[in-house]
Amino acid sequence: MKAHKPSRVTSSIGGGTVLSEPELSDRFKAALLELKAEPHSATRRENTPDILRSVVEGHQANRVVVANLPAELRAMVSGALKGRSVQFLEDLPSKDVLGACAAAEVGVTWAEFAIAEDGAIVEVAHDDMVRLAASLPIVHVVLLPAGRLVRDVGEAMTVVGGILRASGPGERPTITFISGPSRTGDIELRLLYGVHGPHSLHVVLLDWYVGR
Amino acid sequence: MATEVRRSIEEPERVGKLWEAMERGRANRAATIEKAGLDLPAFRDRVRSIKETAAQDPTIAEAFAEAVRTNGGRVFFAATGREAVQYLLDVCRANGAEFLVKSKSLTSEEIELNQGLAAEGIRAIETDLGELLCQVAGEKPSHLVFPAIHMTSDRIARMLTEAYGEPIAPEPSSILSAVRARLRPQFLDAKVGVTGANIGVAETGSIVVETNEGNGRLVTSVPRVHVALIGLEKIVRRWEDAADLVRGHAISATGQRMTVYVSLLSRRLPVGGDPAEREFHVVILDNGRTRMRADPSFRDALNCIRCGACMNVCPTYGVTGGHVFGHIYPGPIGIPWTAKVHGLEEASFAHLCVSCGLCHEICPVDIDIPWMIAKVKEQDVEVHGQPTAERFFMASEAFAKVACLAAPLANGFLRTGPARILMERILGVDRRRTLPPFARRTLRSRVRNRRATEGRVGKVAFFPDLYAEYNNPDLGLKAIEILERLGYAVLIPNVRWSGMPYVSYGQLGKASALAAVNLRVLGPLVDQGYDIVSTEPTAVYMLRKVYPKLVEGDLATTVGTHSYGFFEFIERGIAGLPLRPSRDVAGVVGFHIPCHDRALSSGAPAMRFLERASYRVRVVETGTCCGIAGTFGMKSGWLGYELSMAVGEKLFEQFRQSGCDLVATESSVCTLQLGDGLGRTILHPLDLVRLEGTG
Repeated sequence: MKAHKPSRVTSSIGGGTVLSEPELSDRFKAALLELKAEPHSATRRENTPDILRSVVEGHQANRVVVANLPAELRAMVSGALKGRSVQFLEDLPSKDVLGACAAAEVGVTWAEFAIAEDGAIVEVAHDDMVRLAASLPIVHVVLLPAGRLVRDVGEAMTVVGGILRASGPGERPTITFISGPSRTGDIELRLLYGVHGPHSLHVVLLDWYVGR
Repeated sequence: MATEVRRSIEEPERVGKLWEAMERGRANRAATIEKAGLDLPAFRDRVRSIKETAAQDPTIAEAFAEAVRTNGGRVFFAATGREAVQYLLDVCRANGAEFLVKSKSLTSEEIELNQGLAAEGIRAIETDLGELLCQVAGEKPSHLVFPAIHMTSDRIARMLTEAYGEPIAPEPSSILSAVRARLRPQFLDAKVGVTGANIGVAETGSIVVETNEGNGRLVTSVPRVHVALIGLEKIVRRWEDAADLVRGHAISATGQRMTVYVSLLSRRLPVGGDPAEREFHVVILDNGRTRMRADPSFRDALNCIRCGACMNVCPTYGVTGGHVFGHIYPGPIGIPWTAKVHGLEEASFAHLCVSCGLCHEICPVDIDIPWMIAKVKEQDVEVHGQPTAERFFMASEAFAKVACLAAPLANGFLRTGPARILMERILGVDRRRTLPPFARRTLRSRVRNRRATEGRVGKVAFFPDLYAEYNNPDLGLKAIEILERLGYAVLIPNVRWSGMPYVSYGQLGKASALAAVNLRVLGPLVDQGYDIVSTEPTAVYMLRKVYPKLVEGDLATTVGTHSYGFFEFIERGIAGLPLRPSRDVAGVVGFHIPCHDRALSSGAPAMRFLERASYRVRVVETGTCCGIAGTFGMKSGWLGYELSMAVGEKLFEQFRQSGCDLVATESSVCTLQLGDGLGRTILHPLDLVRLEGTG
């Protein structure tokens, strides 16, 4: 019997087109682990809050900032983290954003797609609160539609080139490929995490969500 | 410089970690290339073509500048480093900034930004951990990728305890926490952030900033003003061009597939929707680059992507470190960059280069760094003169001719202590270095009366170079005999030596003249169907790789493509050769690959040859040079023998640990180095076999 080959899914992200290949998923997870990032599979909508809660509890964190999530996921996140301080940065006065990110222990953000073989998630930011939420806290949790995977950095550049070309000059987003937590080898070549950015990177792969 | 080299060698803890960093860098690079299934030659070609366009086409920078402006950014073309520093000062003053935060930028080192700002009362705070440690210590970075590799954690902890006024334990994790806590408020208060840029992309007016620590993310998001400093050679046209560069930087530098954060920035974003003006400035730096672009000898240097791979393989950089082997740009590529950007006077460390050629082999952009270094040496010896020892070694051929005429006398002389002391004093040839004895009869005189065989298979012009001609004609004869057995008609053409020392010591005019003489002999032979074969890897390296650079035109290229290493050449017909081992084959042969052969066939045909003769062969290698590098390690003192043995010691130790029963290599000079370092006989692969029927 012929093996079933999952079909490729096309999605458009602001002018860039991701030809997803769901069969890359295992390679992506393996690459994440190699980079000391922690993948979590959210197979159903119902178990996603549990994953978020256990990640935050695992770090004994109380202050969480959230940015750039699709609107329909916000209620789920705030429900999952009930009892903790959860700030949606879009709701804050702009002057309070930096302080909130600096004080938070966990930042929750969104990735538009990911690069399977490199274990890199791709953040597309139209506002720097996204980058602050992902950079200042010691823990970064990123949500990602599980199927949105390109193979390698070459394919990723084609997608982001499309996004940047399609955006008007005053509208171009800042795009970042993130491969694992912040790291340095500057002290005696010992690999150490969390020097300036997050010490931990959790990637929650949403099997049930195809993206906005 | 000798004093500095001596300090590095006598205090190995100063650079001890560096060697480990280099080894790890090379190993990780190789592992990732293999794992990623990267087709390295094709990849190099692509990166090279992208970089050549970027470095040579001045319209790209203009298109980039226009696109940055359209995005709302400001662009300043800085003709000199001083202009760039002044621009930064103006930006700081306009924004009332007393300090700025900076992520790692080699270009900012090049223009000595920190010093320029400090002179006007503005502090530049380095935020990359390695750069920060160098700044606290008041030292220059010693490695491109690991700037503070020369510091131990104990020293770092003591230094930061004093600087921060709080006790910091020497554990790396404690140091990390202390630095994170210390820098955080500085990030949050900064009004101006400065970064370099690994790539500029003209089509959308964007820059790419690649970092691992996350400091680059903070420097480009928190402050109201972001200034990016970019060399004009780093700008490509399209995003598709950027992909291979992002890959190339990380793989070649650390073996990562890409850095942790690859940021693609096109403009300043608002924070929390606040439209308040945030500024994006791009300073496009010339500082000698346009001059380099116009200089055919040095324009290749503009193709550098600053990955640091060349310093990870450089033998003498590895024992001296970036403070000695570097000015601001360290390592091999630092030599042409320093000479062209900071001036010849700062580039005297060029003479630490031993011309092993490995930097070219590892370069992801296929930059001929050794050739540019030879050019720098040429300019330098014109100004500062040539040491006596170098002049002596450039006269090796004449010396060998005379020595052979009176071989017993010459050999007696070379073995006598007082004579060697005299030679050291007068000629600068180190008394401790074993020199190969001379033969009574040269190879040519021994071949002269042999009956020529008819070539059923082909015709070979055997290129003996000095060693097989004057020191070890037996080796040459054996090689010729095998060639004849295989059906080749062999002659020894009326060539001179290959002349590598001319290149190593910057006498490129003499090298070209010699190459022209040899090519005039070899060219017609190639036309008549001869292939050129040599047992000396350096001779093949010269013929194939260097002569085409020394002599313009098709002749050198044609001769080069018909030149072969001995074992490489005979592999075609080797099946018919009745090879027998000349030694006990129970043991293992430890094989040393000469550097110049790494540009050719990396010793593989010679090892297969030995395996055919029933030997077990194992490569013993550090991944870099054995240290002698032609005649470099024969020169006396710290800039010769001592440095050479310090490099070699790592390899000697590996041979001692290897438990190999025999040691073999193809190169005549590597043989001397291994012999001196290991105190045992080093064999040529041909010494290890006999032909059936020849006793």
